[in-house]
Amino acid sequence: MSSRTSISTDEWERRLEEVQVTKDDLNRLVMDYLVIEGYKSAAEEFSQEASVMPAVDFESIESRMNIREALQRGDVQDAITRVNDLNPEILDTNPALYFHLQQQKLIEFIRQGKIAEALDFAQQELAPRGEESPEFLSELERTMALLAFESSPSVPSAISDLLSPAQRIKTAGEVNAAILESLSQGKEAKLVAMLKLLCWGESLLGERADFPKVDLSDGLGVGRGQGGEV
Amino acid sequence: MARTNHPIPPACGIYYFEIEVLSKGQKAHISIGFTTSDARLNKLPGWEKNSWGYHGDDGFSFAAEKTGTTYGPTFGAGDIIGAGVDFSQNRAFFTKNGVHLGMVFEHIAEGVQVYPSVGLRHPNEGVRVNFGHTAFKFDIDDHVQQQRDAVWAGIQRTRIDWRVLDAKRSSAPSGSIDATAFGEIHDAGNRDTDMVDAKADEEGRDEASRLVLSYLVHHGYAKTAEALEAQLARAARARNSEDASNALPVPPPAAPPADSELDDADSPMAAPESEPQPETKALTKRLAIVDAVRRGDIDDALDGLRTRFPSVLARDDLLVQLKLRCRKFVELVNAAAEMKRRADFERDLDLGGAGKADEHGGEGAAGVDVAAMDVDDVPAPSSPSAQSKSAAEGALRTAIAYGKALRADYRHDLRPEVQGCLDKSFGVVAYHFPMDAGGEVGRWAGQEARDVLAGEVNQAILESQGFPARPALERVYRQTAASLVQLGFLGVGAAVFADVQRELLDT
Repeated sequence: MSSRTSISTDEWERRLEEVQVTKDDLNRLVMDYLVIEGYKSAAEEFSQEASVMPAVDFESIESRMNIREALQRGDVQDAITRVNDLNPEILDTNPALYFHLQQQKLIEFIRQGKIAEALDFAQQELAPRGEESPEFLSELERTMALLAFESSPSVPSAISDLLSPAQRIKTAGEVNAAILESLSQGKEAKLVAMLKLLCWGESLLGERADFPKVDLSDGLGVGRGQGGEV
Repeated sequence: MARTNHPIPPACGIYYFEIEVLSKGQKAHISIGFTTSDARLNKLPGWEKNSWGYHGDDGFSFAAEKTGTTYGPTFGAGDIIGAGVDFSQNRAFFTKNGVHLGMVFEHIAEGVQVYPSVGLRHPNEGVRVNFGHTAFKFDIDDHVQQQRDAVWAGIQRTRIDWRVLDAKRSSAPSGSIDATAFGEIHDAGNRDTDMVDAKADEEGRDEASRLVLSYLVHHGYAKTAEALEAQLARAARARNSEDASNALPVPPPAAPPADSELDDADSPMAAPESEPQPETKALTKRLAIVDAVRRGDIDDALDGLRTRFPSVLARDDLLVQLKLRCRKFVELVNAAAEMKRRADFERDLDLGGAGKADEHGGEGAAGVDVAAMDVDDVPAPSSPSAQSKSAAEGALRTAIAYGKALRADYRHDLRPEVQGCLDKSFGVVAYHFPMDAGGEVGRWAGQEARDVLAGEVNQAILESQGFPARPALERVYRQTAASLVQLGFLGVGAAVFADVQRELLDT
């Protein structure tokens, strides 16, 4: 389209009004978020307060969260055991996921300074897998490079990421997605999908038209720390 | 050449039609495809500017060209040929006897409207066109589903620009995103990108949780909000301690114990959110008022509003106050009805089961009988049932008196919503047990109307405090849906496949 369209605020407000969505719809969106993100007690309260039922039972949220927490505190073995308790097929059918868990375990050994264990574990468990795939091998090499440095300031940035919380979160996220998939749930909260859709849509539309962007500055943190007399 | 009378709306996403070749030869001199309204009708689709076609005699595809390009097999007698436009890519495709022959042409229907077209050269050739009124040979639904999934997967590779939630973000989008959503935005093999993603996701998790939290608080789901805040705070603390341990303690144990205060101070993640903000009085009060309305305790709600949010009652020229007072009237009538029900029940007990209690249960039509019995069988005034009965009558008198005063107060306010609210509320009096009545009356007397009013009061309080009437989450949804609708208007076919309703709401 050659010419840019311009949409006035009034017109846009009218369009927003026309969008069909109910509180029930949004409640389900919120429930999906609470379940996928693993906020079990909030999900339980919400099912009471808003009368929305989640698609999975609350217990499965809890076991999924226990696994995520184990990974975030660095207890990889506990996480692996729990995943297998939940459903052994998850790791059996997903070699990349299993490799990343083993890699995380190696990282935790190194973080704790257990050099002998780290070497032992790398040789016994990870080296054979490095032979299976070039991607595994390069990851293994990158991880082993951590052993060359004594303290964190001297670790080059190319590999220091491996020691960051983001690495744990990334591995935990991968496991979480695999478990959700095994429960036939979306890997990602629909609310997050919506935000991606918003970014995609607004960006595309921004190339073709001038229109009011959503302004949430006064909407987030509603009622918190701002209340008071009128 | 034959062309349809109406152009294809790009908002359909994928357009498809089929022809059945009725001529004799194995290689029919027929072209199927698409043309604009200015393409001449005496040329086969594909030869002219702004026309695209697939020819039966040689199997070539033609896009405004005389020679054509090798594309598919030839077609002729008895073959069923399909032609489709995929507006998400601005490309076309053809099918032969139910088999997809591949995507072809670029920039078809970009900025121009196209029409389904069929061209024949010889007088003894004929086609039967199917615009979907009978089943297609090719499984177009499945094809559409696959395209839809592909577009959605592409969209979901979009990295969230978290400034989308920030009012101060620039109006011009940074960079451009592949309009077809087929581009590989995300290189899965790149660990660095992944790491950035993981960090961005974490950041995003905070933003998304703020969105949810504000939604919960807005609608007064207090316990859920509390539980979520507690879990978020715990997660934030966990992250802080991780940050503190984000070091290579070689040899272990490196960090001295019991220095958590120091660690927190040093940690960049020691965000204020690690301590949940105590809910403010305004929030607690608002929720208490909304809850009172939901319970039907209107006096409590009115008291709360008068002391805490007096401006709310005055809103819209006292409309909120009127609605609450009407509700109070309905609640008084409900209460009187309940007392009467009890009185009837006790009287039936007094009469030793002479009348069946459930005979009086809720049917307005039974009212005449009940009234007649009341006259005939007046129990002794001292009996408990008589006391209940007079109490019930007293309650009804109180209710009516309240209603009369209410009507008098608003007799000069002729706004339709005001008089409508009064009429509906007075209509309730005609029923013995309004809560049990069906239809409009039952809804107006019962819990449903309480919940609706509670929502309105909640919104009015929020607005009076300068908060938007809608929670941010809802505005995000509306903005998303409206943006996609607008993209559809502008002919961006990919937007049509991004069905918000289907992807986000349907279960």
